Amino acid sequence: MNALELSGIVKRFGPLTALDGVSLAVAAGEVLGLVGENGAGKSTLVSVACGLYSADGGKVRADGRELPPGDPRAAIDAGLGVVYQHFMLVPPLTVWENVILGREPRRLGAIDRRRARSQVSAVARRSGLSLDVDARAGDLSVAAQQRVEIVKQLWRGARVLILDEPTALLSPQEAAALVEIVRALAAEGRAVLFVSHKLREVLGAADRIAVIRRGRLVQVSPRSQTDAQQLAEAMTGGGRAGATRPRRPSRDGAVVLQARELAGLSERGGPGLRGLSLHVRSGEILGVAGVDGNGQTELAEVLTGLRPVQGGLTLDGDPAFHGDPAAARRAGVAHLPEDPRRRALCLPLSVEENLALGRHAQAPYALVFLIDRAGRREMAHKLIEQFDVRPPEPSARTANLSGGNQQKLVAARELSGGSAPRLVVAVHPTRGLDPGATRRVHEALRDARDRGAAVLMISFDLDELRALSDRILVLFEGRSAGEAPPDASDEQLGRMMLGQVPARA
Amino acid sequence: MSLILDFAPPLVFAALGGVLSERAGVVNIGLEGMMRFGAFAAAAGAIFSGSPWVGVACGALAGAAAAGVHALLSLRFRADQVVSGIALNLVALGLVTYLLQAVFGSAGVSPPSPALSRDRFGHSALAYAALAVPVLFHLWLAHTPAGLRVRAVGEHPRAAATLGIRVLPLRALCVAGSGVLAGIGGATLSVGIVGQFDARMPAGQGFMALAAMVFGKWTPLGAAAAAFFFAAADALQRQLSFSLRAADLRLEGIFLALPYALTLLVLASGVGRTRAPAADGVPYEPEGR
Repeated sequence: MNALELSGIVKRFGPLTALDGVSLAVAAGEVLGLVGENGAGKSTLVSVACGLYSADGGKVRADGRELPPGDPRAAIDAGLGVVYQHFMLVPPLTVWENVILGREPRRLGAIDRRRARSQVSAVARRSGLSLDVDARAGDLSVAAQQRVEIVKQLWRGARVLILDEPTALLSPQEAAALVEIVRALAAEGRAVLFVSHKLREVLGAADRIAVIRRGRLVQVSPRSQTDAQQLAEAMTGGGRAGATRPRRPSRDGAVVLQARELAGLSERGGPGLRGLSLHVRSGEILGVAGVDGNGQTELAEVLTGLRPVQGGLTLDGDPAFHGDPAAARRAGVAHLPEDPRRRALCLPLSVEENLALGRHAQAPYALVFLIDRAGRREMAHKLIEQFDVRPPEPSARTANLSGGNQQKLVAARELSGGSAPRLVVAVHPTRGLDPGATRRVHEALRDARDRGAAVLMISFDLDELRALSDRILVLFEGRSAGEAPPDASDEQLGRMMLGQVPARA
Repeated sequence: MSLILDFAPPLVFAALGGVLSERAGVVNIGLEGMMRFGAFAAAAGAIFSGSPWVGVACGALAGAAAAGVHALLSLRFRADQVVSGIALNLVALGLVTYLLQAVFGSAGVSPPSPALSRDRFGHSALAYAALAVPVLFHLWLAHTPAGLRVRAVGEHPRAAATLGIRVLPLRALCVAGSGVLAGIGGATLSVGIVGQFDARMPAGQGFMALAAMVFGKWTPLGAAAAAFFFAAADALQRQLSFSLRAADLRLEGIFLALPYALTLLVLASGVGRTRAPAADGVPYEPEGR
């Protein structure tokens, strides 16, 4: 009998059919990978399975028993646990409070705090997930929040665990650790549905892999009978994914960005910046590597004028934009921030309105002091087409786009929405994107470079850094730990990221 | 000092009502209107039954009924919570004035109602309840399953929903409870302190209660402390204007404004660091993203 069985699931949002008769089954002790591009319907399927959405057709069964549609509690009671892509933790509550919420152990009508804490610690320890149960969930790192989510489901006795894009926000090391955890959970007899578009991780974790495309299931195959290339083709519907353009040797351009001895504390308790110097030339991509929390966030904010700092900072020789985001934009700084949902998009606005933001007072988005609706619509169609934003509808509410399409939207606005940028600051520009979208964003960054922009890209993904960068600078504790050529090995970069080698390339 | 324990209870109850509703994620500007319904219903109930406690119960029910309208509008129909609250205040103003005329044939005050008995310090049981209820509310919010769920629903309703908590019914219950508290606050004004209903009631106390809630950082103990602070300002004002009345009548207006001015000052100085519940005022859409 299957631990979880979905049969013929149909789900519509207005005129849009998100799921069109999808059937899937996961057995106990098995990890089933579910892959598909952004917007293919993966997250919707997860929401239907766990009762958050009620399907317009089809059935969900757990251990052979049918679950009532749209009833999360019934799904939980049947042993279904979901770890969502956007974590479902209440930030001001503690870890143990988040875990027990909705199923609180009681004593004399009050929460039995002692029992709750010890149970939560015990579950975490037993599964090898280290956690401080008294920490506030909002203060934890992303990886720790995810551990809380997993503990939350295990404490509830989940026998079927659904992980929705579990590695999207993790560093490569954290992702590898997660894959180990997932294998261990399956070995204990749990069924795991591992939803992702990161093929390497799915291939590492799953026993079987299902591919979904535009709301339809297109194939299910054992891991031994498929590979990344074949899966990518199935996801995109033929056509070869990957195939990146060879690196064009960069010109010896003029220095666009010059930063000298940048220093400033971080309010988050990290080192902030401690005397970082760097430069980026016109027509080159400088990759910035480093373990999270070594000054990446602060660097991006300084370069885009969001954070004042000590030290020298010039753009084309002009220090004017220092600490002034509006001036930075006028000077031609484009910003692809690390959390586009919070920092780059106004989610309740439409796609075309978000595309115009920041340039909304200029042509083609405005005529004198009125919005130029026709001009904006035309420009929006162009950008949507160029960056393959789905659904291709300028008036769609941005909040209704999938995460990957939201990120494409930001790239479209920042890189192509107006005059050519002088400096592009991209922070994890493809985190959470599927291969097709990643390729598009990478092409856009290369295009910006080829048109003479200086590009500074911060990423945890070493493959991405090597594929795009002309030089790689390694940040360590708010300073440069040195530079490496783009063909540096994982090991070499890894040592620099840990501050062990004062390398000079 | 004794005056403070007289003036504080209406504010305390209403401010706690605000805390309950907003911690669950529903903005409640309608406290003023709920207090007004409560004050009138309490006086009417006490007069017709002859018992002030029946009056208090009527006040609580009237507050809950008014809150029910707010819950229906803002939760079921997802009306803007601020607009719905303001509408409630305006309806209360008009409807209660009409009822006062229709029931008691008066535009100013109701006939005297049976008042709550007072102990030898001159305080009614509700005055002492105003000291105890904030503590009980705090314990409930911090240490019971229901309190935890309320906090979760006000901060991140979707996270609560994924754990099987029914967001909208819980929010509706909290809004109704908010109305009960505000209604008792109003009852305290009419049958507790004055012994009759006055057409001017509650004279802005509902808004002061909102300010106390914000000043108290949306916590029961903080809001109650702020309510006592405002009540102290009110008591001070009465003392001052009483002693100065002979000297200069023109100053009286300024003293009347004292508690309100103090409220403004306090909000301007201390409010910058407070944080509302994250989902306060945000309608919850079960199938939204």
